Amino acid sequence: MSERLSVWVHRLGSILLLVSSNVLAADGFSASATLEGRYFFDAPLAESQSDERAQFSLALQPEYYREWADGQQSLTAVGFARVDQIDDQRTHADIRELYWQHRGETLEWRIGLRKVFWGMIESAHLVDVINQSDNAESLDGEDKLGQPMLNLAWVTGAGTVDFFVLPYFRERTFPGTEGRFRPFLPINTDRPLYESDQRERHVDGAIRYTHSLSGWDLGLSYFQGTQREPRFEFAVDDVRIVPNNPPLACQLALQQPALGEVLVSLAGVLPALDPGCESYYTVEPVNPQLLPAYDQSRQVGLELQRLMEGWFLKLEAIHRDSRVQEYTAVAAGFEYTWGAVFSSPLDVTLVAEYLYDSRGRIDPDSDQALALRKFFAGEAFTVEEARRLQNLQAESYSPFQDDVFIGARVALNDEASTEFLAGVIVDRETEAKLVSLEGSRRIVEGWKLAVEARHFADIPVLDPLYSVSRDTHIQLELTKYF
Amino acid sequence: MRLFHPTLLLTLVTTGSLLLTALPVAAETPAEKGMTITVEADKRSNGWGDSKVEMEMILRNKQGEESKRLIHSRALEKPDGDWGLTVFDEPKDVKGTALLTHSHKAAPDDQWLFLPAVKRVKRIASNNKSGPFMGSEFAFEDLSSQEIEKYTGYQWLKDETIDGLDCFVIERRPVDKNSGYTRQVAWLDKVEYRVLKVEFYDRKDALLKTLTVKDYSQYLGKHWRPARMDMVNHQTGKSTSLAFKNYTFGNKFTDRDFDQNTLQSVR
Repeated sequence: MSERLSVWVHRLGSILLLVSSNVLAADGFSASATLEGRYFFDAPLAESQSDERAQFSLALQPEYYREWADGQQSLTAVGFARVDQIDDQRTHADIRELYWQHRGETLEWRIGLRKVFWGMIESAHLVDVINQSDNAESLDGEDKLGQPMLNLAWVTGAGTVDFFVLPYFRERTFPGTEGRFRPFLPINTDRPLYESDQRERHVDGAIRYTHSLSGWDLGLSYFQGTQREPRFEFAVDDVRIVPNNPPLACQLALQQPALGEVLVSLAGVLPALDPGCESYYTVEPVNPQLLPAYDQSRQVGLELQRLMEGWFLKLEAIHRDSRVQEYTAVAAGFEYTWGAVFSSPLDVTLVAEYLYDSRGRIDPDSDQALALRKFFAGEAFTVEEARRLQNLQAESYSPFQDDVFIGARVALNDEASTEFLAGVIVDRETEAKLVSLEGSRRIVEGWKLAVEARHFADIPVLDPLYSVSRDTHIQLELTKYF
Repeated sequence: MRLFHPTLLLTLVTTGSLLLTALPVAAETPAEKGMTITVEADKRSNGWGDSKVEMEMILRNKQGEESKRLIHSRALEKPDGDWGLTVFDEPKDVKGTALLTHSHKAAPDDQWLFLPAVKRVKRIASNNKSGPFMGSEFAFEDLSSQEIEKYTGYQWLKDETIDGLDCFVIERRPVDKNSGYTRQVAWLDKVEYRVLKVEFYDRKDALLKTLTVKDYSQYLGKHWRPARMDMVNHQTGKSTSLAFKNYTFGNKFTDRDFDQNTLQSVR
């Protein structure tokens, strides 16, 4: 593994040299290279995850920008690549942006791969629906894959309307089997499920209206197409259906699936049994896994922000509707900055937000919950439990269904742009906690150091975040800017 | 962001009437004279329309160690206070960050910050302007659009000569209670009404900083702009120099060049 890493570092190193020598020649180029080191305090939850406590990776982000026709037309390109010491799936590359833009008096055209951000809330990005998350990068969903689009912005005196045609769907990336921050069961990204026959070629669309008045910011959006956030369906590589002394009337010649045949879902393996016979059989899963399922959905979004005497009041709300699920999520909060605290150059910002999701959470005492626990533990379960699991597949949950976020940011406003962030999200129902501490500063001209520590506490077994409950870590990033 | 550029409006109308009533049978009071000078300086600095400029900022700490900032910005003259768009070029870790300001005379400015790493436009509260701009000795309030209404208590103190130029010396007090200053003393030359020096007094009324403005050039036969500003902080021993290059007027900027769509694409 380390040998392979050294080959990659050598290759990246020669690319870096190429980039830095080009900086003077073509002034549209710039780049950043980041060395990331993470230290995990606990052993991972799943056996197949690597127990290396110290993990390193190297990321490179080259950029190119060129404009002509007096700034009316421009080309933007942003690439990304990461090499991870431990996780093969985290070693990946992407074109974050590659688009042409034409700016007119009332119309702006942007065509190509691009990143678009929608939203006003700090702890959740409910409305932000255009770009797919690059979850191999980080858990927080802040890193996004480039999205191919045709975007037309119509600028009027009463706000801007953005039209989006999204011709290609990008699947979500996830950490690999050996990596951290992955669900307890590995996600098999080679076998995604799509509601639409057109799969990733389905053309999606969106429209967003934004307007700012003195002290007010408003956004209204609508999205229709392949939902970026997948559900997960349970799948197995194989099953063994074990009879437990069934009476003659229930005995049947079960067609055991051929070994190695990959079965897409549990439905394919459940025998057609009379309900009275089910209790005589148990189902033993082999290599249980999760398959990402991308449904078609429609989303209506609202963003609202009011600034009054330095107080920000913010709101984001969505309603999502798909074939299998319909739900509402709301995030609301406030933000205030105290400047020049005690006549020093310090700025202190306080943020408090409430997160609600109507999907709620799985009732831990339900039969479904019991079946789920068994599936995650790789235990055998009854045929009836298998059927209950099937029903569960139509559901998805957010970890932030009834949560409060409190955060603070301290900016020293010094020459090194030093700043610190601290935040905690607490689940009001389960008391699960996610604590985050960050700091960054410029150490010398062109170099920046960032520290991040995340701690997960009291996360119940059925919480969507349970899998990361042992992933408390501290991370250091050293970035060089070219 | 426009620097030291007061604009006309309602106040001119009201002070105009003040001037008419204060007939010069007796000499003007220091307060009236202070206002007259300010109004005249304001009048002369109007009509520039739009401008753009490149700025190089050198920060110096007490030990003399230096660090550099590069910025380019554009401005649009508007009746209710100028609009500005500032883009940061260096240090490289903040390259592409941009700040859009729509100033208002009698209300807090509307400001939005563009964060290139996440491609996010975030509105920021402009009520605390006393903080340092990019870690320098210039506070945000030092660099924002200067309007007559933003100060009160104008007083002419005396006449004085600096660098061979006869100057009016006037005192003014910021209206904003969040300002880092109790008062400022400004030297304006008598011929062109250009600001040559400003002393800043902190909340305890102790001398905090001195600004010297140098190397003025005249553009379009009317508008004076400095090539250099030096701000020295007497209490910390730190200083910042600001050099202006490539002033350009008549860019035919419109409101579109100062909206959030442009904020997201400007480089």
